[in-house]
Amino acid sequence: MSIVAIVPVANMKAANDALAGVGANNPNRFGSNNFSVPAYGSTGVTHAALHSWDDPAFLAALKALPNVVVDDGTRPQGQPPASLDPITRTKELIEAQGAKWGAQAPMLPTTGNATAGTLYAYDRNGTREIWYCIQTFSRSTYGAVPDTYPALIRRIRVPGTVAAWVQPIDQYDAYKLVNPFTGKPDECTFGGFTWYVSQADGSGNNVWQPGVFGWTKR
Amino acid sequence: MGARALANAIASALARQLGGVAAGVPAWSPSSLFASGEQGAWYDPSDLSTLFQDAAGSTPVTAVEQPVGKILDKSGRGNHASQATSAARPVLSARKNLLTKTEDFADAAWTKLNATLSGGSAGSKIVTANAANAAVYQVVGSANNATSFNSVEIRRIAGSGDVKVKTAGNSDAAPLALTADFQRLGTSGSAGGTLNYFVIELATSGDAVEIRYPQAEYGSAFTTYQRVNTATDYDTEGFLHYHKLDGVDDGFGTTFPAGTLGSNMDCFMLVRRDSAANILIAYQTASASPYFGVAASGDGGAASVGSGTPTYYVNGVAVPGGTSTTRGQLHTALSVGSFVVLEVRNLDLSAWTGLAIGNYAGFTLDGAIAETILCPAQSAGTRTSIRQYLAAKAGITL
Repeated sequence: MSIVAIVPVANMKAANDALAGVGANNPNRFGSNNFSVPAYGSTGVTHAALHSWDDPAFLAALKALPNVVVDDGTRPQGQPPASLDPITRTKELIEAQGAKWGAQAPMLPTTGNATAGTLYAYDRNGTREIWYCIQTFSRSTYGAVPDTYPALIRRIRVPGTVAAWVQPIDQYDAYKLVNPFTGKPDECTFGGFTWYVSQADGSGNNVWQPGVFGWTKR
Repeated sequence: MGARALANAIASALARQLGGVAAGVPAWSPSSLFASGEQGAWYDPSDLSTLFQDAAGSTPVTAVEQPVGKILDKSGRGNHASQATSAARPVLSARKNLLTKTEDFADAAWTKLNATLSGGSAGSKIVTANAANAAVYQVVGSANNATSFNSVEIRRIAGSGDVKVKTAGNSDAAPLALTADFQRLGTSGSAGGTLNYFVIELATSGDAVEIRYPQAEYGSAFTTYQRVNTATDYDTEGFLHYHKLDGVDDGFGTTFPAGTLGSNMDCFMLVRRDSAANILIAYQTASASPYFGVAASGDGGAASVGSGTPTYYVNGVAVPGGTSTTRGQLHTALSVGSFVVLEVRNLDLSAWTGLAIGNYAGFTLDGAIAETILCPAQSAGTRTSIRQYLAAKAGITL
């Protein structure tokens, strides 16, 4: 039986470092970024997940980590057996934390309803974006690009992607000086250049346009 | 070599011949594509000498179901692929029969419903119905809604009532035409989501049959029987070896200087999708273009970005769209649950500085890769040879 595990994004770096063997007398050698699958809440990334094929040493290391929820596929007697499908297992564990898996998000419909609380994928010129539906609405009626309806649906930035700069609405979709998921400054493209956040407010957020404040060209 | 292994080896040889390799003619090999120093890469999971459990290449893969951390490039160009992160390593698999305990019906893996087991010879059991609609069945994991063929060698011992083999999606299968002699009989049907059922049902109380060598496999016909005891203990000789990727975070890749790959290249891949999830075949850098081979349901975006204007073929049949194939068109062309030969022709990879397969965020491959060949663009004849070579390996009829 394979292994799935999840950690709050605030504890992600510590968990990945522990698995990678960072730190004195740390015997682990499982490589970097084992927790690499973003899981989202209504405003952004809340957790990071992983799936591993059966590996007793890796399982033991995971179980020793604080703040990590591990599912090794065993179930109490009388309960249905765990699914053998890695995607099903991962999705179940993510949703058990109250989060959603962006990789499994359906495309934002062009007709019919978009449903509150659902993550949707939206293709913008070949770039896949993730959107969170705040309130159920009819795409048949409100069928323009989702940016048109900020009260109904909001964009969730996918960590690690370098997409065209978009004016943030609030602190949740602000660009981060240190993204908790990647551990690096957020990046964007603007004016034909790639930029990274080099300055931010006291909370590490940057809501300014590149070239105005807090951005440096790559 | 045991009798079953010998039979499997003969079956494999026959399959290779049916795939287009004439008797007496040396089998075509991809090594000829790289004989003059041509750039590219060739990853072959069936060659265990090229596989290692760790990214450093110090612990060899010695058996199926072990993780694969490094894959040596058989092209000779040194584009070895690796995966340093434990959770992201694929495993080597040769599993075809989705059942377990295929020669131990008494095991708890088999549920007996109003049925009693008795007698039989090695690997077989006599099933007697204690009541109407008795059944011996097993729940099996499956590619999402994939078609599978459930079959078993079976003969009638007593009675004349209906006996059926069912799947989750074919609960109204036709009764089997049983005789007093063993014959392999079965039923094709779809799974119910990611679970399927292998059911042998006896309609009439008191009836009895003898059963052996059950098999549940993707596709719509029986191929070669594979004994499976547990998830790690099963017959491997003569069976297709492949890298199994979890669709969550598994993948591997390599880096090289720009200009390593050419401006007119072909990529051939023996690949199987195990769900309808979106996938991306190959990319340079995580979460950014360039890439090619994006298959996404209903998505009108381009299947290739930053890789020229390639065309796509599945089992030799052109995917609609020509040089503008969309992600949705490729998604439709790549069936779930069956290996196919995916062909991407005339790629421009001259600016690429790396090649990664499997784990592009949001498009992680849930499935299997049995071979990858990346080579300079070939003539029609050589493309046919590559396609036939890969198809024969997986028993695909072109």
